[in-house]
Amino acid sequence: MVKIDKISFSYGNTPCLEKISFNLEEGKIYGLLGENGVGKTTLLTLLCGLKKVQSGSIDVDGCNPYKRDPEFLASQFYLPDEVTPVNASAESFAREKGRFWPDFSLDRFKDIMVIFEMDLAQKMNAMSAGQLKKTWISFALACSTKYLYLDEPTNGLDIPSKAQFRKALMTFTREDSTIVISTHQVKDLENIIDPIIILDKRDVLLNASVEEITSRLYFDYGTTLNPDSLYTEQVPGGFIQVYPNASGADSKLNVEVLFNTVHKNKELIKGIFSHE
Amino acid sequence: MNKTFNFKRFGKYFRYDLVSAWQNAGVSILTIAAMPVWFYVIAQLISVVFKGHFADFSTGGILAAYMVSFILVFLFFPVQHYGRITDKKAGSDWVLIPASRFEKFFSMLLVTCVALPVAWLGVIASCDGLMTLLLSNYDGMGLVAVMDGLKGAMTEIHTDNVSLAFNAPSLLYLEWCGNILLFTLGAIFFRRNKIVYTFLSIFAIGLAATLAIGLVFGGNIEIQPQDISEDRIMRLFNMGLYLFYIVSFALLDLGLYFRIKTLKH
Repeated sequence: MVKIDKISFSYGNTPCLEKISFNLEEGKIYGLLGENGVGKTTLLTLLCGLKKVQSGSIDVDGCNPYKRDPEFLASQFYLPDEVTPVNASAESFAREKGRFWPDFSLDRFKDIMVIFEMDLAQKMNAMSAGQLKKTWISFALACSTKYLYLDEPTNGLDIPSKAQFRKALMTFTREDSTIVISTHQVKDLENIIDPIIILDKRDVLLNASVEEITSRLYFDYGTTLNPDSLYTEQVPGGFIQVYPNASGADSKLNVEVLFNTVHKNKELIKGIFSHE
Repeated sequence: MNKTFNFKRFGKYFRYDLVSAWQNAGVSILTIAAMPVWFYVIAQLISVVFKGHFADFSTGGILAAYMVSFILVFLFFPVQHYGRITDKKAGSDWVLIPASRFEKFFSMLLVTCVALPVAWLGVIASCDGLMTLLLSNYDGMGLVAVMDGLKGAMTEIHTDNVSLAFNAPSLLYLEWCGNILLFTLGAIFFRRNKIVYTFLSIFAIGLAATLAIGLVFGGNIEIQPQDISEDRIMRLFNMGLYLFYIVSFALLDLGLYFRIKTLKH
């Protein structure tokens, strides 16, 4: 379990995260959303130990990530938005590097590469950005770590690859893994991420499961405007509106619309989700 | 499992470091270590163009090639192999490899101070042997000649009053270690213009040290070799030299470890 307690981080005099607190539970795929510059990538780098928190604390199964204990490092994998090319074939890269992660499986790596229709013998420094990303995603999933942090994993992937990524993620992750995916491409991962965390500079605006969200907010795909609507977006043939779910009716979550609703009604949404 | 050092884990990391060194800088090191070949080719081209015939390639030319190769190795290897860790993409990946900071530091020492000189000397000896076998105008046994020359020329320094003896190969090795560690520290400390900034730092530190020594002693150092025995000069010389290397290595190692420990991305 990851416990994030009142962490703050700033770049020089520019604050990035201020007193952020929340927990991450086992066996869930968290979607980490937020506007540009709210600190999503910074949060991921703090979680994996690349940066040191300036105040507050992060506790991952009793470990402080910044201590970078080898056993802790072997329990996680962080995949940044931009990945580095390596002067080796995909297979030899995975074989060499995979030795560090106890649950890494070369066969699993090969299986995921097959899903992505990638050539194992291709040199990584001769790959396109998308191919390189797919190789690193395959490696990250093949490590089968307890904690997996993915920063914009679908950036640079073509349309079929996004579906392949979803398939690989759903097929090859451990039951008890905690996965955090930071993304702006919410449509790519809409049916995968649950719970959803919406981050603001000074606060976590929302940290709730899809079930919890749809039990408290109603997503109305209709043709008539509702005066209680917190957010309305015109779409071909009508509107998508979000309003408090007073009746407890079922509705289908639209993550992009949810994000815009939260963004426009920060305090109200916090109020709706704060009480039990 | 020990968090600081574990043999099995270190073995994995050291192997990975060696493989990465080959992937990142292997071709460059081969090219640099084969410097006698390039010197020989250039010398023959110049001779053919300007004199119309092939020229003999003497021990002097070989020595110059070795010196250039020696300098280029410690200028380029640290930047090509370890310089990447200050880059956000490659550095993040390196920092999060499941090995301890000490293991990464120790592997860095072994690669730069043991594996690299062995590989460099191996390539040089191979080139030298092959050229001696294949080329009649190449001054045969070049490497052996150079080592003999070093031994003869450097193990004894004669002045009017004293004769100093010291171990030239070990000094050469210490010189290698000092330089490679210094440039490795520069490579992992500076984010860009690593070689230039390292040279500037050496210049600045040298200047500061000279000023400090000047201020402390006020230019009143007078040595009268005839007043002290040969043995004492020997001891002082060796002690000073080894003290300099010990202090330098300790500072460089501390710098490397501290940099690895505090690296953030």
